[in-house]
Amino acid sequence: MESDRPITAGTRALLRLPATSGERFPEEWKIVARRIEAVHTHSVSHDTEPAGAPRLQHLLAVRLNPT
Amino acid sequence: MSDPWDLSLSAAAAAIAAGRLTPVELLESTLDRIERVEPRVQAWARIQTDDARREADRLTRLQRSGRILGPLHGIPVGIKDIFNTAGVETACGSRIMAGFVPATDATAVARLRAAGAIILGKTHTTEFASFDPSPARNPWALTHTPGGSSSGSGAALAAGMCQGALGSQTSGSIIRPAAFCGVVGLKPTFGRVSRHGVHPLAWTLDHPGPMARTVRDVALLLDAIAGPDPQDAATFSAPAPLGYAAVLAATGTSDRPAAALRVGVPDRYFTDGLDDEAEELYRAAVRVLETLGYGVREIRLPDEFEAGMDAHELIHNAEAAAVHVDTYRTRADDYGSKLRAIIETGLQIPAPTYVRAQQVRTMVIRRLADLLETVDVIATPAAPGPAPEGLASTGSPVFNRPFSFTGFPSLTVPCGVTGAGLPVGLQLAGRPFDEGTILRAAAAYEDATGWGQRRPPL
Repeated sequence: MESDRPITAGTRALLRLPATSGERFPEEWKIVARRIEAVHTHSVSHDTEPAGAPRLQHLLAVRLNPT
Repeated sequence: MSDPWDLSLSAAAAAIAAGRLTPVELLESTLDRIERVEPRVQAWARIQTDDARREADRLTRLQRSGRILGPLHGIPVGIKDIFNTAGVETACGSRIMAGFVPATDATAVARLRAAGAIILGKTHTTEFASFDPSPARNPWALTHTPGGSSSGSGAALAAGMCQGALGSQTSGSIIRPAAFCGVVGLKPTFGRVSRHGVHPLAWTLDHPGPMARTVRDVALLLDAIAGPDPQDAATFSAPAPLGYAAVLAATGTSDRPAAALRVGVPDRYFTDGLDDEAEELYRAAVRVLETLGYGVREIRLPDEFEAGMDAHELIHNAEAAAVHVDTYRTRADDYGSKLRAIIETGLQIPAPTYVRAQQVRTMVIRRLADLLETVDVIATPAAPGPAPEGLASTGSPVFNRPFSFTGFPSLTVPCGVTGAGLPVGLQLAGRPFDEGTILRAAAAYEDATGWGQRRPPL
């Protein structure tokens, strides 16, 4: 079993995942780490809203308050 | 007439509507075909023979009384085993979900039934529609993968074991298996087809969609399943245009004007790692589009494109970890190694990185939308090559990922066969909610070439 970096161990504890629940997939993590770096090298303006914002239009169609 | 099982969905539906074929005849022919080829192909997680026979009897009685329920009356379809089917086990290709029997249908399944389709059974999926493979084999070469994750749907269609099927795509899970199996797959625009009742892999990337043997067949299926659904807030509130299939039928080959469609060929990315034979077939397919009168030109992909593909993977892994974390807490050992790697890495992606990835996604969506103001369709290879040998991997979704990431519609249509006898596909992508344009372009290509009429040597 591989030991976790402290931050990973802390996150796992918060999620109530067993500290030794299995492999940590270090090779796959290297790829993910490169991807994390890649997306943070792109400057993004503050007015770029993340995709996946709430979609409320259907609620409007279903529940209109009387006016 | 061909054996009923060998008819396209459109031809079978037309024969049933005209009274030349009954749902019982079509089903019995299909069951006979399944008995002969399924032991080798292994496309099905379960086949509901008794239920299907009862439904075929009912639909045949209705047909004889002059009543046709809808455009899919009596058509046997396969449902990827991550779609809920009322009263039928939906195990998602996993040990975790084994024995789960939903009480109600997924919206797409319910709409197929309402259109008259017969739910023949559940087709194999990779575990939770991820990358750990199912037992399904490629009908064109049984030692090769059929692709994934809609492995069984692609294999069942190619082997003539159903006329239509449902698949779903989070990275490349409709287009890739359809291309590897020599059939047609359509990944609709995100929001065109309801995700309700489909087990999530990554909520913001999951797209349910139709698969079949011809372009017109997938259009008929899309007509049945598309449209707003109050149970999926992402579905587009306006109804889907009525009659994708009717639009195609109205523009038959002989009277199709030299269309003015503009086709873009990307300047990069979609040839990285592309094998020589697949590239030759792709270039030949693009030349066919030119001979159809389409204006073909090179297009420059946005600068953010590659970062977008990194963002896709981060979103995918983070969302998959969120989907599974509660079960993973106690049953980690019941997951396959590929999905465990996704969950474990997803658990470690920082929240600000996930948000940044979704911002990059917004940027790529805008840039790709701008690009699609200059062309109507983007044409690419559907995969870096034909189905790889071996069953441990389902091949690469890398060429399909951009359209799962942006949510723009894409489809694959067979565009040739390699020297080893394996099919490859041409991927066409278009503007959001403009499935009609890529269907028209694909139908014209299909009519001009007929690659999809070939059958695997089973």
